[in-house]
Amino acid sequence: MLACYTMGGAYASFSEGKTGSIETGKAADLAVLDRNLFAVPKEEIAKARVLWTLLAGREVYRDPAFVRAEGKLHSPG
Amino acid sequence: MPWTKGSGRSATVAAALAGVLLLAARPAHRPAPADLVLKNGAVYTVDAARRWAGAVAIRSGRIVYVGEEDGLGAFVGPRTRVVDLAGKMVLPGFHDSHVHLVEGGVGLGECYLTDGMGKEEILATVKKYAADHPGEPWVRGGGWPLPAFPGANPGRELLDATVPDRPVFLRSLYQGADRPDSRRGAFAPALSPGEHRANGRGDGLRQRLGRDLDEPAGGHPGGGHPA
Repeated sequence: MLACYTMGGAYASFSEGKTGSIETGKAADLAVLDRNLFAVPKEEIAKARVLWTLLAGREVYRDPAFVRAEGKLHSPG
Repeated sequence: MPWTKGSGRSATVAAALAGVLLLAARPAHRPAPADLVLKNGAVYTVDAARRWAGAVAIRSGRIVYVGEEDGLGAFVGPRTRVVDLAGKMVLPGFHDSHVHLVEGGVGLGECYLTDGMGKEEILATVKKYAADHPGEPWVRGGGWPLPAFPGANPGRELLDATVPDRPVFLRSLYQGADRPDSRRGAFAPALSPGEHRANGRGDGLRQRLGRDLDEPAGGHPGGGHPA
């Protein structure tokens, strides 16, 4: 399912060489979720929230809760 | 080439060459710092060669490192923004390679019905929309799932009873992509007064079989052709 919506979508739009997976050289198109979908009971998957999305390294969306968390955790260097 | 003649000379050259190679190789071990580093995450790469990682480094919009945190090394410089994800999951961005952007946006401004709605919820939504938009000559919208009604048809009587004073035009969930003059569309929108004469049966269904059955233009924010 995850492969379908990531590499599958990229492949369908002829961009599998540029995005669709997290590999060196590809665009930094990322989504941060509040929980590991493989580590929770499947009933909980639907409750997962997207906290942060990046398109080519630039922030597109940030959950207000993640702003607070990231503020605390942010430690340059 | 002269230096290949004496073995001592070539050994010296080889040593010098090796030194140059080592120097040249150094930048590979000391990469330029990244703009952004995500660490302590559950990074699901969707890359068969390395399914999981703990850290990702990004420079100039591109991924420059995927791996474990202890391999970040010189990617973390004084100006690198480091985000500790505390175990949160990182996925590649999702791709919707089939999206009806304009039509979807237009739909949000109409009587918006969607999958999972049952008969009562649909009718209540239509009724409320009509009450909230008294100036619109047509109640227009769509997104109703076919199984919500017997025979995939809300029927004229039901829509007439829900909105007695105006025509109602509701595309079903599966009609989004069809143009009004499409001959491919097999699904029927639901209609009420003023339009059910179009199919000659008066049953509220309007098969999309030709130009003569175009969607009504009146009262639509985008004209007669959504998307």
